[in-house]
Amino acid sequence: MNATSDLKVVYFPSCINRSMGKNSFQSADDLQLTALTEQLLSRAGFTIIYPEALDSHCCGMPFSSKGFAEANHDKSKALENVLLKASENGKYPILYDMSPCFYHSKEEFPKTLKIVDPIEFMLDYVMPHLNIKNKKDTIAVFPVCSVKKIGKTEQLKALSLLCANNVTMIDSNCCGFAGDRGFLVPELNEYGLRELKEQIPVNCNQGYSTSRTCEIGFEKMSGIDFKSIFYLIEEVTR
Amino acid sequence: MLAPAYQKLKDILSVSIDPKRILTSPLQTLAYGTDASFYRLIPQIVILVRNETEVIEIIKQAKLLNIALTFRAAGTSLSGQAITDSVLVVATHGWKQFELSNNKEKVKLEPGIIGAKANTLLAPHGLKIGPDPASIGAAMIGGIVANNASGMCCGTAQNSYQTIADIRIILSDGTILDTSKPESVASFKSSQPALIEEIEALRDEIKNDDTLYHLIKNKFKIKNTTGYSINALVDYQDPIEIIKHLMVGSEGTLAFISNVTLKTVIDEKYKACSLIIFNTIQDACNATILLKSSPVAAVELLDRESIRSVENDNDAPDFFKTLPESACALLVECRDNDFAFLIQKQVEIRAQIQSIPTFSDYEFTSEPKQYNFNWKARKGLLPTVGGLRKTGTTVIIEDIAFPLPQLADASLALKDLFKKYAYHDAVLFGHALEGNLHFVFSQDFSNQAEIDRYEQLMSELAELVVDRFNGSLKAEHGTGRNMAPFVEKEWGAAAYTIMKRIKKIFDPNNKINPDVLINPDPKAHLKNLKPLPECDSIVDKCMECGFCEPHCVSEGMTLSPRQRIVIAREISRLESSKADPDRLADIRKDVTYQLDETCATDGLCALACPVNIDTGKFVKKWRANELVDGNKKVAAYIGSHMAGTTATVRTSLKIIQVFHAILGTTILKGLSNGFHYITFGKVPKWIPEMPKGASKINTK
Repeated sequence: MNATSDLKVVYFPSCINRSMGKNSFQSADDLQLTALTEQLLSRAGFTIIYPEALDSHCCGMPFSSKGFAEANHDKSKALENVLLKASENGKYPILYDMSPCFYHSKEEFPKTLKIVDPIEFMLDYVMPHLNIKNKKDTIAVFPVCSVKKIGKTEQLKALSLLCANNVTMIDSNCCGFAGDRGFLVPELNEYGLRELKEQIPVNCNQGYSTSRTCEIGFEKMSGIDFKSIFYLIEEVTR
Repeated sequence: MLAPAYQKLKDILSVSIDPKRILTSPLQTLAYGTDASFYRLIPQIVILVRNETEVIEIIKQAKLLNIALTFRAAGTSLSGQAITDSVLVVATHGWKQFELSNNKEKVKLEPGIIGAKANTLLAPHGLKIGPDPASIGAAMIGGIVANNASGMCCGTAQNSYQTIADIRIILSDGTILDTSKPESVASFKSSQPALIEEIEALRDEIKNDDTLYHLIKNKFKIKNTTGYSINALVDYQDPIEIIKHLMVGSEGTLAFISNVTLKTVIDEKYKACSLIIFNTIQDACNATILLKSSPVAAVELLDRESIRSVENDNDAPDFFKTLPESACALLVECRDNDFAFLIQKQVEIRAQIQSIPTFSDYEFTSEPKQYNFNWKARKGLLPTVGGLRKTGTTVIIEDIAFPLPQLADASLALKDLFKKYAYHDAVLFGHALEGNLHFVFSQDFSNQAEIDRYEQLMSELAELVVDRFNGSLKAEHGTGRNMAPFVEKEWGAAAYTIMKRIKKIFDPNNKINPDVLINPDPKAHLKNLKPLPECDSIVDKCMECGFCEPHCVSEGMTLSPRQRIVIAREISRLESSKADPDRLADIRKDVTYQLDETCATDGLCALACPVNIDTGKFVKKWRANELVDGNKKVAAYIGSHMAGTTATVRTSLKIIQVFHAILGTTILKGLSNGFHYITFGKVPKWIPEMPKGASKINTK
């Protein structure tokens, strides 16, 4: 990274993070994720470019998951077009704030777009510009399925270890929340995370991941504050 | 629907076992009744047992009703030993206790622990378990021990038979024997004098029969899982030791295994390997004989066809494509906890085989990319054949072993045999150091001509292995139903009689996994063949190996990816044959919840699948097919009004938040649960962790 260059990033907040706000542990003073990301990126020296008509875009995964292949394709194509434009045809990296959306677009898009998943972006683009000031003691981190599928579990661990002395990487299959499945078939999430509590150290009351919906299920099944790893990075570098 | 005796068993067991774990629906019995073999039997009842008390109750009640039981863990075995048309008792969930001894020399494991999980738990101590089957990522301890399963490195020195320290079993009359507890051994000896006497009699008879004694000693010098581990009768004097070792490789036909204690083995830190190309298979086999007395951890053979199947891999060297037809490769591995010793071992290995010319120079490597390619070349052979096979055919892995001096001739004879019966896609590879060869080929079982071709291959294979080369017909996969008709051929009448007597001692009524290992039917290996009908291009390559199961969130709750595919295949079969509309309707009744709604479509299954099947993608396609046009219009509408949708979600969540504050958690949860059920699960259930609504982003 060249610090003197004009650091620009296209930030694509997922539709989930645009609609679902803070969790039940967060107070009125806490920023919602999209605002926190803005702050974090600007502290790291980035100028943010938002895709046009942001509110009408989505990676398409919610449709694909339910079997709506056509609606998925339409949404994905439309997103690709605005991202191409926003990134000036791939000149700037495009940050996704949720791993599943990144994975979905990675499968759908041609390679010309430089889309970057939340872990790689933090590790390679953001952290070099920030200093860790108050490392946390103990945290739990869950590599969501799309992190495993892109082979970034070790990077997530490395990123977490920059921010905390003790990191418990939660060993689990899919948490079973699976987008909105956790609301529709809640027993799947309850079954998937039935052994979660025993994995979380007693002195650990904060957990992090890179997918908002998975975090709902983790909060429900662990009883601890589970949110985006962006919050962790923002907090320890502040 | 159930036959009266089975209904009675179900009724009685439902008193002490949660009826939710006693499965009788056509969908569940088929799904749970399927294993990795190419045989198919559908159980009447499947019971997911959680503890010994339940197992004992099942054994006692089934005995009163004269009903046969089959015990199973992961269902990854290949020879048909884990299927039944009676009652299947599955010991996976609830059987995961792990206990490392204080001095770390032994580990006590329950049958439901996956082999790789045991190794993960042992890894921090620099240890692992001895047995290392290729299926270790899915196979569980119960089956690994019950099959004496082994793989690349463990050979005959570190298999379950050699590393077992203790075992806890439940016999066919409900008696428990725990060899780790002196009081259990004492009470067993006093309550089962006849059994002990018979074991001692067998032992003494063999000792007095020189021919038999030496036959047994010799046959276990190489890997052998044909029939029972009767080496127990010559290796041990104490009847309890004999029983313990007979249980290894007994394929669930003698007793239920509650736990086993294995001696741990060292997992060396440093590893290096080399893919050495020889001019001929004879050279490779001669090198193997020399390597036997060098410090190697594994020697794997890959024939010319095997190399061809990986030559297009990005990491494959170019010369793979131009190798002479006669070429043959050995993948040689060495390991050590000390890096200097590892290098020393490489020097020794090189010196050991310097008299044998190689096709090209070779180097040992620890560099991850090349090291991994070498092993990928070896491990990719099964999926390559599996992935290229014609839809509707199955993949067969034969598993034979020869005394090392015969390995070269036997390999060539095998290749002639493939040619004779036109198995052109057959590849030959295996654990050369142990004389253990696998050959993999695709096989159609949908017509009689193909079944006949397989029958001819098998009978000629038996002659080749047994009569010509004095080998084993099953080296490490277990006898099952596949090799049961050939046990007597391989062992001869005297040894086979001993095996039948063993079965009788432990299971006098032949009700514990009958027809497996000991089977009087000379054509048992050709019966109950599993149909693999065309279903969907995403899943047609599935071999039903079960490697996906440990990676699935709904496994054990509803279905695993393998089970989803099994059900989808059965639906396809019933739809196209129109053979049994009632069964089709019965299966369809449960399918939406079991197959569709409880699949998270996360795709982790694809990471473990040897042929990369993403069952989640298949389920999405399934969902698409189930959709009616009205739904699609709604999706298109939501899609084109995304801004409105996110706004609605934002606002709804905010409204819910307000109601939550006013009504409190219990009332809101109650109200929402009510809505959730009356709308058939379509309205999201409210949970206290539901997020607050986000505020719209100001992008200016």
